[in-house]
Amino acid sequence: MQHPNFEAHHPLQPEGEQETGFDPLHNFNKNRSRGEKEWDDLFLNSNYLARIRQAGISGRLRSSRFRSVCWKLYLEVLPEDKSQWLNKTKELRAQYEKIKETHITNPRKAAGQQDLVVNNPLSQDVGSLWNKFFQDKELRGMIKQDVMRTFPEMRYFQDEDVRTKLTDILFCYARENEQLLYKQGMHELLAPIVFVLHCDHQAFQHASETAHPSEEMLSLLNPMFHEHDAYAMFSQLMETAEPWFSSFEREVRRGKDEMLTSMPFARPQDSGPSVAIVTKVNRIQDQLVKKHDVELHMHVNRLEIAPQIYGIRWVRLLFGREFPLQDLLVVWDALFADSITLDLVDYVFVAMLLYIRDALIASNFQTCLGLLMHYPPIGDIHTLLHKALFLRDPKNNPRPANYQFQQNLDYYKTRGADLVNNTRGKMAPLNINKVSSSLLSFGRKLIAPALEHHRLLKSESMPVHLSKGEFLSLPTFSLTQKVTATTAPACVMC
Amino acid sequence: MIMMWFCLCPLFQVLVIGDLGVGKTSIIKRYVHQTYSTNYRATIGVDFALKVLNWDSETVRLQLWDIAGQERFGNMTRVYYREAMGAFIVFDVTRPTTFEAITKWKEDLDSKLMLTNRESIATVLLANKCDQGREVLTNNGVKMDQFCKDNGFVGWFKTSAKENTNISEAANFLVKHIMATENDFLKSVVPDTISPKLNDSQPGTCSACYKS
Repeated sequence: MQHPNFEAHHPLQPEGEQETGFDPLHNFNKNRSRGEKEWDDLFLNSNYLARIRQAGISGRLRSSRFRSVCWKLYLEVLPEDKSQWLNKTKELRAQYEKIKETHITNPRKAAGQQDLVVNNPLSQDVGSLWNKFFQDKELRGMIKQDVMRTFPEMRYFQDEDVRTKLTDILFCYARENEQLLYKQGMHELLAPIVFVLHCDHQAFQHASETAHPSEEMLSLLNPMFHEHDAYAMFSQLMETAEPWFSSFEREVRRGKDEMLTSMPFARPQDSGPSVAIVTKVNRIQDQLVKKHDVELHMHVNRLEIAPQIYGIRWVRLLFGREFPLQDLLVVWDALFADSITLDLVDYVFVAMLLYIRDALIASNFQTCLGLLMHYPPIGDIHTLLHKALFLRDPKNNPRPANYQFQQNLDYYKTRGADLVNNTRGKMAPLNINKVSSSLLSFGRKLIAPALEHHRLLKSESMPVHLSKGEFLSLPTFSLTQKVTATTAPACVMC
Repeated sequence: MIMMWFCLCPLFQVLVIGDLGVGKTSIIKRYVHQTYSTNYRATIGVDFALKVLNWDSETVRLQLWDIAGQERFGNMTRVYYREAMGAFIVFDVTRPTTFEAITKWKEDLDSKLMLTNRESIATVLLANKCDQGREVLTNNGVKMDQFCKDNGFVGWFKTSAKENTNISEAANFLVKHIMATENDFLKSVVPDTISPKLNDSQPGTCSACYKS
C-alpha cells in the first residue's frame, strides 16, 4: 500500500529534508498512474475500509496523498458505500454553504424586515439583529485571537485567507452549537484538518495536470470546497471531543469501593462536582495507570499530581502540543482509524506516561511537572502507538520492545525544577536506616526525613522507591553532588 | 497550606490569571526567560514556569502558574489554585472587557482559596500592554488605587511584556507581600514552632535553597 519512494516527495515533508536537486514531482509526473495506483490500492478493494483502517493504525499513511480521504472515511464524513461518496459530499457542502450564510450575514441586510424600535444599534433586545451583530463580533474576536496564534511557527497558518477560513469555520461551529460555543483548543483540532486537506489538494493539483483523475478524486480533492470539507470533518470530530471542552458540571457517581478508598484521603480533584474532562483524566490515571504500572501510579499520587494539570491539554488537543506535526498526524491517523469514539486516546495517554515512567519515578514534583507539561521528544512514534494498542488489547497485539525516555533530566530541571540535585543531606538529623543500592545508583536525592514536627511541602518531597531492582533502564542523571544520605525512609506524612 | 511554613527554602506558588489574550504567557516568558515573542500559542488548561530569585541573602523560588483565560469557567481552577501564595491578575489596557473581568477572576480566586487566617492571598493587578499607548483605563492613578483597595488588591502596575516594563518590579512587590504575610502568619498562628531564620549568616541553613 505504501510506495517507498513516496516518502521523499510529499508536501508534508518539511523543506530541507528533501534530497537536494530532487524534483519532488518528477516521479509523479513521469509515472502518472502512481496517484491513481495509490487511490486504487486504498479504496478499490472490496474490503477497503478495514484495510485503510489498518493502514492508519499501523502508521502507513504518513506519506499518503489521500490522507484526507481516509480521515473522511474514519470520521464518517464519507459513507463506506463508495457509490454514495459524491452525493454525500455534495450534500455536506451545501449544508455548510447554508450554515455560513445564516451565521455570517450582515445584520443590516435583513434589517428592513424589522421594527426600528427593536432593530437599532442601541437596542438590547435579544431579538435585535444589532444585538446579534455585537455578540457575533465579540465571539469572532475571541476566536480570531486564538487563530492568530495557531501553529505560529508554520508559514501556512500566517496566511490571511487561511486564518479567515479557520475563523469562519469555528464561528459557524460555535453558532451551530450554542451550548458549547467556542472553547480554546478547538482551533488546534481544526488546524491539522485544514492542513491535511490543503496538502492533499496541493499534491492532487500537481498530479492532475498530467493524469486523468477519476470523478471522485476531482470532487473530493476540489480545493474550492476546502472550508466546507474541513467544517464537516471538524464537526464530526467534535461529536466525540465535545464533552472534553464542556465546562458543564455534574455530580460524579462513585462506586462503593471508590467511595471507601478515596474518602479518608480525598484529594481536591475528588471532591465536588466534576466536568467530563476531569473525570476522564482521573479515570485514566486512577484506573489505567494503576492497572499497568502500580509504582508509577503511587508515585504521581504521592506527589499529588492531579492529572488535569497536564492531561487536559493532552486530551483536548489530542496530543497536539506533545508531538511535532508530522508525528502528530500519524497519531491522529491511528486515533481516527481505530474508532470515531477516539477510544485509543486513553491508551496513548498511558503509553506516554509509561515512556517517561523511569524519569518520573526518579523525580520530585517539580521535575515531574516539567516532564509532563513539556513532554520530551519521542524518537519513534510508532512504538508509542504499538504500546497503546498493546495496553488496550495485549492478546491481539504484539508486545512492543521496552521503550524508555533516556535523556538526562537537566533540561527539565532548569525549566521546572532545580530540586533534584540539591542535596538535603545537611538538613537536620535524619533517620537513616539502610542503604538502597538502586537509590545510590540513581543519584536520587532522596530523603523524606521522618521528622516528627516537620512536614515537607508536597513539591519538596522525594520519590518513594517500591520495587527495588525492577529498574533495568535508568534515566541518566548528572550527578553533580555526592549522595550523602543513604536511604529514603518514605515519610508516611508526605 | 501549613506545611509551607515549615519549608526552609522558600518556594512560592504564584498564579497568573486573567482573560484570554491579555498577555499572561508573555509576562511569564519575559520574567523567566527574558524573552518576548508575538508567537506564543494559546495556553490550554495550565502551564507553569519556575523563576529563581535572589532575595536579600537568600534564594527564593517562584513557581508561576499560567492559567488559560477560559479556565475561569468551571471547577477546574480549584486544582490549580491550591497552595498558591500570591497571584497576578492581568488585564489588557486596550480592551475594556478584560478589565471588567478582573473582579470575576478575583471572586473566583477568593471563593476557592483562603489563607488559614481567613485572608485572601496577596494579589497584584497588572495593566498589561501599556506600550500600546491606549491606556485610558489606567490614566487615573487615584482611581486605580481606589479600585485596588475596594477589590482587595495589594497594588497595581502598568506593565509591558513587550518592552519589559515593570515586570520584575511587580514580582518583587508581590514577593514582598507574600513574605510579609508569611511572617505575620508565623508569629500569630504558630508561635511555638521553629521558624526559618531567614537572615541567619550561618551557611547551609537550608542547603536546598542554594543552587550548587
